[in-house]
Amino acid sequence: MRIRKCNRGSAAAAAMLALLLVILVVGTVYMFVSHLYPAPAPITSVGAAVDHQYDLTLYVTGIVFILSQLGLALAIFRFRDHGQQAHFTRGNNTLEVLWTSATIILFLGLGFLGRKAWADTRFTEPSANAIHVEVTANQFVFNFRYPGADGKFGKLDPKQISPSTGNPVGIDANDPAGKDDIVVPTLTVPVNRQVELLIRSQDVIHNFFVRELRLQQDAVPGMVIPIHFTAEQVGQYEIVCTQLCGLGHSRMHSYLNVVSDSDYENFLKQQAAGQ
Amino acid sequence: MSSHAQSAHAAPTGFVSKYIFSTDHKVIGIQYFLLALTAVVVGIVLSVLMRFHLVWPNAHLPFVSGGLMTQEQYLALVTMHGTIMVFFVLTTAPQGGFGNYFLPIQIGAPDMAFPRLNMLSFWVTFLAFVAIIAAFVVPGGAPISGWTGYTPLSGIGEVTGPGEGWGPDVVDCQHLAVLPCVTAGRSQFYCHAD
Repeated sequence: MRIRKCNRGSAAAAAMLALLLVILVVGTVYMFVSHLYPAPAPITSVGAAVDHQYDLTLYVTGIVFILSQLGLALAIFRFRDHGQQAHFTRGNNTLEVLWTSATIILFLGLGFLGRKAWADTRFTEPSANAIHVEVTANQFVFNFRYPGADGKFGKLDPKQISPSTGNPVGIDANDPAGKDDIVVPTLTVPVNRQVELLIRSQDVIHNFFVRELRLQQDAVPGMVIPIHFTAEQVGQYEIVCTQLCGLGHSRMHSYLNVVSDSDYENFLKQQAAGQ
Repeated sequence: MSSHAQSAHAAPTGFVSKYIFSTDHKVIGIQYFLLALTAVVVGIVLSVLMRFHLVWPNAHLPFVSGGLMTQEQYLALVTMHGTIMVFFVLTTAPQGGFGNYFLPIQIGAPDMAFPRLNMLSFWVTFLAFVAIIAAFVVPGGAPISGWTGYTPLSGIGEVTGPGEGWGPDVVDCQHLAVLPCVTAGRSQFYCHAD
């Protein structure tokens, strides 16, 4: 029977590894605490709720991260090999029940607390006086269609899609309801009024994303996906596509213009007059 | 002890049967680890090239024809980095590596339930890795639809643009990589559990 030689692990190596881990933890925490790359301020109440949920999740998971990694660093050093015999254990059922229950409570709790941030834009119906705008994504542009003075969207016919002749979304020329539809490459909405977007795609999967709204929704061909928001601050914000859609994906973007009520009315009048 | 003696097999002799085409679960587990390690290095190189291009988009690269990275080449880096990392690191290392190495030891078994199938599954995974790496050197280049492979972008390449679409090759490589690891490996894990 071979007698095991007493192999003493290097304390220096264990200490350096533990120290490296501590440094990584400190560096990671610093990057978040110092807000090196802050997100732009939200311009919707739902955006504020999303930020709150994000911060809450970060605090909870951050505490667990710090404790577990520092505990790992301690274990690396304290239980390094210095020739001791391995200690056999059959586990600890009480601990297992405790930390499994804690994890379940945390996960379910965070999900429950975040329900409002998600449900408000997706499970609640828009108000009756919401402004409806159809968003059509295709390689590699966004087009936005307003229903016009009659308040109705005209029918669409894919065979009549013709960007070069001013019909990028394919409005059916035979439908009277489509005669006054306004199609523009940027999205203009009034401040403090609810807007419902009907998001669709003509070719591949795209995504409608505005950072300041904290709103992101895939545009899936064959589907019309409704989503609504209320912008509470005037300004111009970038709309970007965040779903890889081809070679021009990085250049696919537009702008959201949040304007006053009077500017919005002027915008509609100008577009109607230009038709 | 008697059941262990009945199931024991003669130790392999020769380098090839001992270290290359070994049926020993620990050797196969280490082989999976080494494959995952190789794949992660390849994936890291691809991600470094991606980030290099983002920081210096006009830099001339010696190994790129024409010097400047094209859009197709950048998207190929993105797609292949994700594909290799997910299918050849995240599935290979935990399941193939840790599973093969530790499961029999943990339950006191002498080896996996089907050692030859286990060996075969590793080498099929290895062939899949070689095949997917070969995508960089075939005509048309590597796929550029993202590792998630969402259709229609990945499915109708003829329509969505030049170089789009995965074609049958990458999907087949994924099947070659994942199916042996999952079916052969998992079936042996289940047999052991029973």
